Amino acid sequence: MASSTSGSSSSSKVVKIRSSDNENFEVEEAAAARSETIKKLLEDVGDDADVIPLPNVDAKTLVKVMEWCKKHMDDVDELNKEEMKTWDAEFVDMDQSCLYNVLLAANFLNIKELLDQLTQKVADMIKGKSPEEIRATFNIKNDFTPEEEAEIRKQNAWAFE
Amino acid sequence: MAVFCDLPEEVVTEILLRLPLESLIRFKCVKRSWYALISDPAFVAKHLRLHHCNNYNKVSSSPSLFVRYLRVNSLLRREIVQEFSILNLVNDDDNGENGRVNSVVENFELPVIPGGKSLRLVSQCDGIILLAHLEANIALLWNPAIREFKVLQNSCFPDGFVILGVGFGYDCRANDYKAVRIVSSVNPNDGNHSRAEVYTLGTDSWREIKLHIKVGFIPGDRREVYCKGAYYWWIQNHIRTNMILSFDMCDEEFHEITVPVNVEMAEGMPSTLAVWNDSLALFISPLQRGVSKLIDMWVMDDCFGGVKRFSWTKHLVIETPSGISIPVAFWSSDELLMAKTYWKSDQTGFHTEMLVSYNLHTQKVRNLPICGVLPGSAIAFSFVKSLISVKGGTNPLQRL
Repeated sequence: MASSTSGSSSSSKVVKIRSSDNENFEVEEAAAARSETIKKLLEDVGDDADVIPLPNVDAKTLVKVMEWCKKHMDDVDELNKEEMKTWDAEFVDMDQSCLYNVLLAANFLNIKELLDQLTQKVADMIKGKSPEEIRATFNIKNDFTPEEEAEIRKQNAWAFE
Repeated sequence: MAVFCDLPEEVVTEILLRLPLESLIRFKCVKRSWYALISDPAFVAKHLRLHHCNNYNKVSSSPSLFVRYLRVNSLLRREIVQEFSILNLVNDDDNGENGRVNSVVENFELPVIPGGKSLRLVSQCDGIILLAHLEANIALLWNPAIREFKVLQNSCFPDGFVILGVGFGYDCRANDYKAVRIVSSVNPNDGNHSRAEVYTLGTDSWREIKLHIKVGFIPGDRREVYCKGAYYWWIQNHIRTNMILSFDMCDEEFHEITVPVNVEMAEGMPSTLAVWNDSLALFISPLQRGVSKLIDMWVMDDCFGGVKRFSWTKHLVIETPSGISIPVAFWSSDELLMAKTYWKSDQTGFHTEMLVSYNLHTQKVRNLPICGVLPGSAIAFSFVKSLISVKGGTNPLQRL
């Protein structure tokens, strides 16, 4: 899956982008421009653009991100809103490592709506956890002294019930 | 392979902003930087905006109402208790099963202070509630979501004054919350002179402000509301004329607003002030024999073309099904919380009301899981849980 072009609208302009592991992709400009970063790069280089290099995103992640961009290329009308909601929910349902890769890519590529969906997904995953579970899951080091932690817990005891 | 620790700080902030308040309170003790972030006023303000029900980018879409009502505690021999609940509407896309609104009720305990039982719920803004005890001259700010409260001390009018009314709101220019209090002297020689003071949360202090209107009586409860930077009270002035008094939180000025013409002279009729689509709404039921079925809903326009001008438009007439008496508050632009009276005594020997949700368009009435309400005692306003500390600007980490 080294290239991806749209079959339906052959007339639309296609741009080339290159992943960090040197795979080239052809995507419709309208899809790629969902990324503010790519949009800005395209504006800067104009029509002389050969390939836009994306040194922070690997091929596997880029495929995923462009899948989202293609789906969100056009404005959604009211009728398709529900369908889109279901599609989005299925899209963000991926394994954790993949999720963080796509999240990092969405941040680097500056795709606001995708970033919103992914951060909401992570928030939904962690909202019911205890502080210990959060530290264990995310490998976070507890830098409070035992006294400090006890004091914070005491102040907010109701939240731990 | 990416892990959570690889996420840059701004992405972690975005994730935390989307968490419900309860999770954030727990996650304060994950690590220092999270504690600092969750306590940061800028983060708190962003979290509020993102979770606010009027926000189209909202995270949680379910509207909530904060409800105060009185009921008779039958277990304790007719003792009257004050209940505070948050009603969260869930999955309002269908009509609710069995004519009920799908809702979750959360109950809250009032902060315990001397005389606490008769504290009156006044108003709320951004999740902070103002409670007051008029006779004892006590006012306190309460954030029920984070279980914090503060008694407002050092009033400009400690003794020799009667509290006529209080209000609370947000000053967007100063980015601060303000309480306002209207008093009149108990000394008859002072005449009908009413005075006012304003409290700012940022400085934790009261100061006297100008009040050019002679206020006679403020009935309170459902007849006052905070709306978009101003507080509104239905009042009677010193010559017993009905009007609405407004207080602008930014410029700290009072304005008299005449009520729609045909209600000016009617006295003592049931009326409710509410917020509808960010505008002030007034409900009037023309007095009729028995229970009134027709309720007029007026909406106020405030045009600020250098000069403040207020005008009223009769938005609609609600013909309520029998037994439904008084509008309480709006959940959304078409769902109205109303009180439905049972003109029969329950086992406690009191008449009671139950709260229902009435749809202005479909005219459908749906039941809510709150009943046994003493007639006229329910007050409600739309509510959003916030992390805003009422204890002022002190950084709690510095106290450790």
